[in-house]
Amino acid sequence: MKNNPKDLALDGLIRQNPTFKLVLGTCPTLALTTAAINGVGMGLAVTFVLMCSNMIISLLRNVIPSKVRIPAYILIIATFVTIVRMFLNKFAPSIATAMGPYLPLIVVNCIILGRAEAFASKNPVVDSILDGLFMGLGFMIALTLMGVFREVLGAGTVFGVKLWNFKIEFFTHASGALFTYALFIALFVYFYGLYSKKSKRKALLADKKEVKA
Amino acid sequence: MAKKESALRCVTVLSVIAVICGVLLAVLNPLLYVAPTADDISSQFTLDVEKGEWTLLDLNQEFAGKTSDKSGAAVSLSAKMTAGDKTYYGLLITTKASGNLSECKFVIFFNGNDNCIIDAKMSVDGSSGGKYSYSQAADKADADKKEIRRFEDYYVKIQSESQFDEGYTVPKVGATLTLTAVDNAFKKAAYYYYNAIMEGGNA
Repeated sequence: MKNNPKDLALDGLIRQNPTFKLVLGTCPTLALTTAAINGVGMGLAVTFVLMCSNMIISLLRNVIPSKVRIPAYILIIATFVTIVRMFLNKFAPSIATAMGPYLPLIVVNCIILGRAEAFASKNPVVDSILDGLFMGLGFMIALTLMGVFREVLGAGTVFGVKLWNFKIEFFTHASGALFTYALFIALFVYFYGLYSKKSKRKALLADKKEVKA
Repeated sequence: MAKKESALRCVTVLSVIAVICGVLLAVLNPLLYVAPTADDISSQFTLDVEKGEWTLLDLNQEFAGKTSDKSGAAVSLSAKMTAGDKTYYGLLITTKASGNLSECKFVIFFNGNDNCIIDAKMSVDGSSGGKYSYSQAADKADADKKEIRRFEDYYVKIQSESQFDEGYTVPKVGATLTLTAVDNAFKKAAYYYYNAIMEGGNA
């Protein structure tokens, strides 16, 4: 099965955005978006794990018996999560601390297991790596946007830089996280609807031109 | 026969993957390992006294290990600071309350000159957010006992390894299990300080 890189990019970033479209990886999305930097950190960690696990799973897709595929996937994913955890503990301990238990919990993140099962186990290596990259980027962008929104309104800062003294503490709480998530999903669905209509209209016009020709 | 072969194949593949993952982690471990530092202790030392450099001490595993009760209190770091003629010790203790409260960390400071506890702080609050959470428990407690994170007026001389075994408790916070966790941190600290530092010849 050959996949177009542009399609993979559009799937990961928009059409199958793991956070806003598939609503996967909800726990870290709600818990870690109190600050934008947490969103970037978590997004990068997930991207790395997704790319590496997708690559290995795709390489071994004809070797791993289907009966033990899930334990095998978890074993592979856990190894890369451990590497990310060790790396962050060494080079970015503040981000590792801020992520708390959500960093090791990447092992059971639905996005990673989902992509392993739905994509990497059925597609060639390069496509699987690209899928991991774009899914991870889609997740990172979503978390960062939510993090910026909540940090600006909840703490009056962005990436730790103070903007003003105005704060709405609601946005730093769990209820604020749910509200923000709902708001972003609503906006995403609205704009995605517009984008879909535009794409369909384009396709329709192209079809009509073909028929005329 | 085919079933047996299939099972054998599953086990073999999983074993090979596990071994490869283990080897990969073993190779990366020396590169990414973070040696413990005294920062976890020194960052909690805010008493207004002359300050020097904190240095880690080797843990005496004979006395540092987890207690056999449910709290599993253990000493995970020990450090020493010398400033002028004063010596201070800090112990990082991990403890939990009967499974209802996840791991918490206390840093308990001793004045090495007179073997007294001079300060104690909870550096990591592992509260689950449930009814035994530290913050909720502290809110329920009397106004003068709310500051569970600070024990500035704490001053107790260590005289025996079983200093806190009976008849002594730290400030009550309104939840038995939380109190147990706090209590056990102090018991373990006194036990370790007495055996490993005082009797061990470091004091």
